[in-house]
Amino acid sequence: MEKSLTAPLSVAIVEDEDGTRAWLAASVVAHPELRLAGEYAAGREALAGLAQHAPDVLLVDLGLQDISGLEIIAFVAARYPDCNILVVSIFGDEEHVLPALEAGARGFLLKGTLTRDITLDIRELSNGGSPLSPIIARQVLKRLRPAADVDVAGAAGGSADAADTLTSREVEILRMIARGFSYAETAELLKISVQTVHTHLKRIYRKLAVHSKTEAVFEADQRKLL
Amino acid sequence: MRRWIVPLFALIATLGAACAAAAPPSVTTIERGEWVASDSSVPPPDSAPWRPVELPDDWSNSHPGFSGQLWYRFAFHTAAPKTTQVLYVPRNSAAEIEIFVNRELLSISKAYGDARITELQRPLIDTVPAIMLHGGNNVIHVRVTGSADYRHGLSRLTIGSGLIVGPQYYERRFDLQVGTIAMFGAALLVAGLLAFSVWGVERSDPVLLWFGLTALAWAASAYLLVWPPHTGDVHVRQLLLFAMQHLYVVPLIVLCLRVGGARYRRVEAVLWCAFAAACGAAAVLSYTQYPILAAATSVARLGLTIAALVWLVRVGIREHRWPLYSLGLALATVIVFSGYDWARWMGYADFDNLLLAPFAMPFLILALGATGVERHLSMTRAIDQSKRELEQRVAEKVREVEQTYRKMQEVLHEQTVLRERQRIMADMHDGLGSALIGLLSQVHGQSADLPQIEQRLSEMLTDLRAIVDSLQPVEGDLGVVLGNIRYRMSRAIEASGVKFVWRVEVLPPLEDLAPDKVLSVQRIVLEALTNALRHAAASSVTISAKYIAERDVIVIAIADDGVGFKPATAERGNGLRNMRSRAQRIGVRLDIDSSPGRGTRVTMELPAVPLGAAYQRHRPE
Repeated sequence: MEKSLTAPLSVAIVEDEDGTRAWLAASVVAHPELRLAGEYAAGREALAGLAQHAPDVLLVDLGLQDISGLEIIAFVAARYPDCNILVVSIFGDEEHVLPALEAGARGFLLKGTLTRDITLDIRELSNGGSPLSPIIARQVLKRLRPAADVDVAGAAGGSADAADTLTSREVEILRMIARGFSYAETAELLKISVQTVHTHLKRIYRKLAVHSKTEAVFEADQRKLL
Repeated sequence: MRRWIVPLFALIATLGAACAAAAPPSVTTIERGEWVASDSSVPPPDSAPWRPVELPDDWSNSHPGFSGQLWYRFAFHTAAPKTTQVLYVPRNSAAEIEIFVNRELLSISKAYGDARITELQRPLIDTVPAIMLHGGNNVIHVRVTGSADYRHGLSRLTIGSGLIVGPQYYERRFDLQVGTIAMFGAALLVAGLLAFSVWGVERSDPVLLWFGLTALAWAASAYLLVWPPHTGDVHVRQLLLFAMQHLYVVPLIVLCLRVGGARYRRVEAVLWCAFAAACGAAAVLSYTQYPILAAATSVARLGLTIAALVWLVRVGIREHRWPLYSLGLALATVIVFSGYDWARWMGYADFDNLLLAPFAMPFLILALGATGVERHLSMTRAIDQSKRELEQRVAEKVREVEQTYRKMQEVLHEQTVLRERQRIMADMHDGLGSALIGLLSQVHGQSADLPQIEQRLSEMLTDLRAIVDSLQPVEGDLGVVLGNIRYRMSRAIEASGVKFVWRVEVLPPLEDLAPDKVLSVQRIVLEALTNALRHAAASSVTISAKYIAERDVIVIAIADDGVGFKPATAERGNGLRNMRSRAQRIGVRLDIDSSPGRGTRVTMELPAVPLGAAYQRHRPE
């Protein structure tokens, strides 16, 4: 994490609340490692602007006036796979975050606890996603239930994993996170490097997006039933 | 009807022909002879005024009104017999009969039962020793006594080898005329008793009762016909004869009505009264008056049977049912057979032929069987129907129960939602609402202490997040709840610079971890953690959680190595009181262990399983 960035990361902001947007913009501007690429108050405006050029990082609020933030996430994730998307949320609750992750977001910032040092979040993000909350980790575990016959021996090396189910190692990591352990603690307890934990998390995020696509129809059906 | 009658008569003619089969060479059937009226006890001399006669000789035709004794004389030619011969008479219609062969008495006078009481008139057979016959011409004299009131007379005589005449004539005839009727009677007795017993079990079906009565009446008639009791009393004899002929009539008519689904009380009452009156009359009428009654009631019987048949046919045209058809067939048989018997009686048919009326009995058994089958089928159908109805009703009930269950679930869900809403409202009102108002008044009162306001706002946001988090799905996982507190507090922990130790083990799921409980646990831990970070001046804080299997509890501890305090005189009394009351509200044991200079340790003990489950787990083997 001590690795310094060679060029400033370009950051775009989509947030309809003026105060928060100004604060986010100020935080970005204040850091030399970051560069403000654009700020948008409305969803359509953001879509038009983002179609022009890709930021390295996108900060997006879900509760916009005109369209859902999820649409912007999906748009950007499809168009710029390398763009790191962060959801800006007040509560970071499952109902908002999980769909965002499935749409392609890589993490979220909590409004209010917005750090004096936003770079930390952004750096974590580019390393493999911002910290998953235990609640979200648990939901991900539930959603990407591994196949019943996961090979325990192959868990450490990462066996040939299905596109949208978890390997045993990923399950182990998510279980640690769900119990509140930090990435560093998890890495120590599992006797792996922090970087490996980040790699696994990146993979988990990807699986979540894949899963959301393959399971979309099924989930819709299930919701109707429930 | 005509279609039936012709084959029936053909059948009857065949039967008759079989019995009076053409005699083989060694057998002689005598159909012509002479007769003379004489009271002599021995064969009258040849000089008596013999006159020719053809057999069978039915007195009611040949000697109307005659009562007394007649002598018959038959001459026949035969080779000298080597073996014993037999003399066979198919219908012994004499009150008394004596046979003389070549003027020697063959047998003493015979009467099977009382020939006056029964119309059955059994066949007769007698042995003729070979020495009584001689080659060439022989002569047989037969003495017959009888009366005008009954059909007396003499049948054909057949004489020949006993080996042939016995089996081919006598036995065949006896089996048909006596054995078969006895068998029918026995079958009807059994069928009647069966019908009665079934009716006794299930009184709802009167048809069975009347079937039973009719069958038993016929069985009684058959018994009287085959084994007429000997009685010297003419009145008893008349009563028995009348009963034999008419006993079945009223039950049969009533049975027809019941099978047809009708009940004419008056008609039935009249019939029963008429039957009783006729029985009485039969018992009291004189020997000469009785035949008039018998003739009248026979006509009435035939008329009633025909009327019943017509009625049944009319009902049968409307409702196509097996019992109607089979009973109609039985009635038709009774009518045809009785008609034939009457015709024979009147001389329109061979006098020696069989009495047919008893042969209607199997048709009644058939009708009974058909009724039984119909009842069974309709019962099966009714059972099927009621089963279907029952299934339908059960399905309806199941639907109702499901609906009720769904409604109950909805109500329960609504109640839960309402309770949550009330709790959240209370939280908003007492917690966030009053805190916001306090802040507002601070800002208004110009005593605004910005860092303090920021701290308060941050606390409020933390609490709001705790409320939101308590509503997140955790499915009984206390580890996630604790982990989430750490996640929420991570910035504050980092900012404090305290060494933070996290020792949350894998915990068993709690079945009763409802949002309010989650929130209380969160607030207690947050309070303890905040105290440790803010006031304890600690260098490290440890949060641990583990499951203690022996006591089936989960123990959560927040421990610091800070300054500590005297719990009794704690200046932080308000926060501690809050923690204690929260713990109490959710049934959690809370210990706050602290003394100055030795740090603080807050311990919570949560029952790992609800009471019922705990009992299940520790139930004695």
